[in-house]
Amino acid sequence: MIASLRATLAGQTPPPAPLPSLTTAFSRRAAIFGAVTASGALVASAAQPDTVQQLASSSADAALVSWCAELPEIDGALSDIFARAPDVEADSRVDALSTRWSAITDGILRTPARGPAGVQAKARVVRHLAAMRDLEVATPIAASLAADVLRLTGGEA
Amino acid sequence: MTIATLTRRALVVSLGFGLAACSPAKGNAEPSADARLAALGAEMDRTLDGAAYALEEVHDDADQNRRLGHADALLRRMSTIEAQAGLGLYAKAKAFLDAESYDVQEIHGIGASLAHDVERLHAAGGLR
Repeated sequence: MIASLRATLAGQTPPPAPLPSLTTAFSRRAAIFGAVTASGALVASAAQPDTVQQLASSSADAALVSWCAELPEIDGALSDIFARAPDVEADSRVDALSTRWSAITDGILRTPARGPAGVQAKARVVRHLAAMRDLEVATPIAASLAADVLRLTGGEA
Repeated sequence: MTIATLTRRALVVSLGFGLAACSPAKGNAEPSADARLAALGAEMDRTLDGAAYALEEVHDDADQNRRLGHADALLRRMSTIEAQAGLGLYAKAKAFLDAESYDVQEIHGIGASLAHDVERLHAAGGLR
């Protein structure tokens, strides 16, 4: 996260953190359990679906947690730039940071929380954006948070 | 005031104290924060149903505005009550999503309140 923020400040525009890859999770799972399966341990195979689900779940929320922590940092960096005298370099950094900011908010809106960590991350962003008076973005993310809460507490999203 | 009236009044007062003493503990009679949120959420549901009926079926703008004003008041009240667990969070989340499709001004308040509750409960280890 800090690396991507540094890259952004250096004028590069890193893509948003990748969404969790199930293929990677499956490959990793296969690599870990390959030797076990070869030695005929069927117990490990029986446990596979749970383990894969847990990996996918934690990965999904890991991306949300990372994005939601980065957003206030970008706002802080933008505030620092705006506090100084404007220059040409600042313009390009503002563009890069703004692009990253939009990519992150899109990612947060597209990604449902899978557990408490993801829900808490979204809640943190809603409060941050509300404090910044950015209700235009805070409201759809709050709606996304509400849908996650309904789904995770047993209701329909 | 006759003696009979005084006696009757004394009887009523003592009976009242007796009933209060026999009733379940006062703390239990008070609905929990989550139960209050659920009740307000149910009222919100009915209010918005009424607003939709006023708008789409009978085209009564005044009635619709009155109901939306009531929905605003309900959301304001819900925003001031802290959810204690899943039931309260559910009520706030549902009220937010129900109100989102209407022009209810307090939508930002309930969104911020929901976010505050989620963070508070998560910090307290109440979200699992």
